[in-house]
Amino acid sequence: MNAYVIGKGQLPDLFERCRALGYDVIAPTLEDGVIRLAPLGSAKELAMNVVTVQSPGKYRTESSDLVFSFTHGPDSPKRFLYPPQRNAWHMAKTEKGFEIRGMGCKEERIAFFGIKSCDLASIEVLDRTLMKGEFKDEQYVKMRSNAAIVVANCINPSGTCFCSSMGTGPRATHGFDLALTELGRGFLVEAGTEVGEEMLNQMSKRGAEPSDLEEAKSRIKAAEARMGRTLDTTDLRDKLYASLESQAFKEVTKRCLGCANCTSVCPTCFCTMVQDVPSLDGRTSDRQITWDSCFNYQFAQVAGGHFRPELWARYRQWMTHKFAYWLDQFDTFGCIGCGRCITWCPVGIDVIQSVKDAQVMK
Amino acid sequence: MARRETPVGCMVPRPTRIESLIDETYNVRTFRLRPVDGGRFEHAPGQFNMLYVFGVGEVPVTASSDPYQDEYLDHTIRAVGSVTDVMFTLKRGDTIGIRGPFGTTWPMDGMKGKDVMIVGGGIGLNPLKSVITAVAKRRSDYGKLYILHGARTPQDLLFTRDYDEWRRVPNSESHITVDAGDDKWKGNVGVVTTLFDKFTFSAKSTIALVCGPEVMMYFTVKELLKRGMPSSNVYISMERHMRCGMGFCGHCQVGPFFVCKDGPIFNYDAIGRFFGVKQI
Repeated sequence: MNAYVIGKGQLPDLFERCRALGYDVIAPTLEDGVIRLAPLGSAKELAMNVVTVQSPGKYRTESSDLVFSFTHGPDSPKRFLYPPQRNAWHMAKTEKGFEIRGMGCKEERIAFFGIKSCDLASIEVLDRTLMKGEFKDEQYVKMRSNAAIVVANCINPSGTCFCSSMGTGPRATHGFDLALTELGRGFLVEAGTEVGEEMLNQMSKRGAEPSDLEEAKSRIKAAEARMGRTLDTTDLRDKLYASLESQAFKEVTKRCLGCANCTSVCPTCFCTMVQDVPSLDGRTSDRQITWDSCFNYQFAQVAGGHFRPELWARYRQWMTHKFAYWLDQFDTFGCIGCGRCITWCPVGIDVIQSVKDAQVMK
Repeated sequence: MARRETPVGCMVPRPTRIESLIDETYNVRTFRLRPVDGGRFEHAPGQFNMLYVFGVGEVPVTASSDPYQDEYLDHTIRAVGSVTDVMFTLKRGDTIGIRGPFGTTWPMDGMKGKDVMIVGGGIGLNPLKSVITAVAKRRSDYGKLYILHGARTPQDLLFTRDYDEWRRVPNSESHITVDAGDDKWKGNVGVVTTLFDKFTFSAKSTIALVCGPEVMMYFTVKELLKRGMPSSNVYISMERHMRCGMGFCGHCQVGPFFVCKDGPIFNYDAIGRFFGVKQI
């Protein structure tokens, strides 16, 4: 892996370079005081010199000397690789019945610019869920196989972060085209692929010195020590399987609103609603796939029955899925430790506390 | 569980023509479907299809037809929701879409040489009908066949027109019960587990295939285990609202399982730990 150093002022150049290579560049931008991810038309829109301050149910941004070392907002790569709403196909009524008039698969060439290592790990989790099993989500495969990734290693975790507990950060070790680490002067840039090298091709840069690597390492190590939260994942699956009947789920749902904010901001939650939306004249119909949530009342409802009518059971489904079932299903945790579900919970429920409570309260 | 490959293009419904409609009960109807493209169906007992009504949506249903022919599929349906309600307005010659087959199958190979016990509660007999047909057709492959069926009332008994044929299957016995009889009913009254006192079976050498409402399956399995049947001899067919059939929509999860691809047929050894956990 080749490592270089570029100046802090060159960050916009690197962004423009990605655009010049033909990517729709999805990058952090400051909107209403929140870091959002969006396809940006120009480097001027890039969020810079800002950091986030996060705690259960709270989020704000502050200006900072650090140029590109804020953590995330509510958006994650999921929003672009596995959009909130899409059409799987378009069907038309015919004399003899119906026929397919087009598949909804879009092919775009996107680059993620400046996502954190936890979000990079979330893409890996989605890969296992949506394209490494018996079935493949064709839309996801298309988006994913064209996507380039410039990751920003984390030197400034927020109060709800726990990536180091989940083994997903603060430093990205693989799966990126470029990895940036902000140094005192400039950025350390590691190229993970040929695509990454190409992004750096026409930029002025110098080879990284051992002292640069050392500085990056110590900044990341400091970040690990400043993680807002920690979670002991030893034998966690088995511990939670033994806790399915815990009273903790009933306790936590005294506060939980069942609003599904946590699953909406979660970068790995993949559940969707599959439904048909006919045109008003009834001649055509779209198969629409929209994000759904296991917190929604109707989620486990069938005609004539309901498998999880009570909120505590839906909370258990979500939490146990993330930290137990997911391991059996996809051989990885469904949680990457980004802390979004804690920050964006309107009543500030801390999933880490819930995981602990479930094991203690029988 | 045995699993069959699902063909590519499993996202898009394939048009099929309703060839005939048979009213099984006052609210259950069998739809016989043939592919519009003249092709064939691949299907194994226990697998389900997503049936599509244009502009309305899909429902997961297991086929009830003879699995040893591939020209048509029978789907036996009770009108209980928005899609099935519309299905009941369709006529012969109308078009329905099919995606599938999805999921695991009853252990047709694994129960060769064993006695086979079918326990169907209400509409739960539907996914077991193809097993009865298959066992009858390959009679020497299997031991004794027990057919147990319980329904709420005599009017709810399913596939009554087939009972004579089932009774003629060599080395078999059928037992029927209703929760509440009427003036004409002379048979057994009580839940399906009361039938276990009506006959004897060898718990160790019998494979039980159970389908019905979850509470019925729960008590049936409990009774079978109590009578010495090893849990690995018990198979159940789980009901959940499968929306995609491919493990993406997440709606059908039971513990670590996706009913659509890890099921719908489960060996009780695998799912027993989660079955019966309240609101799992």
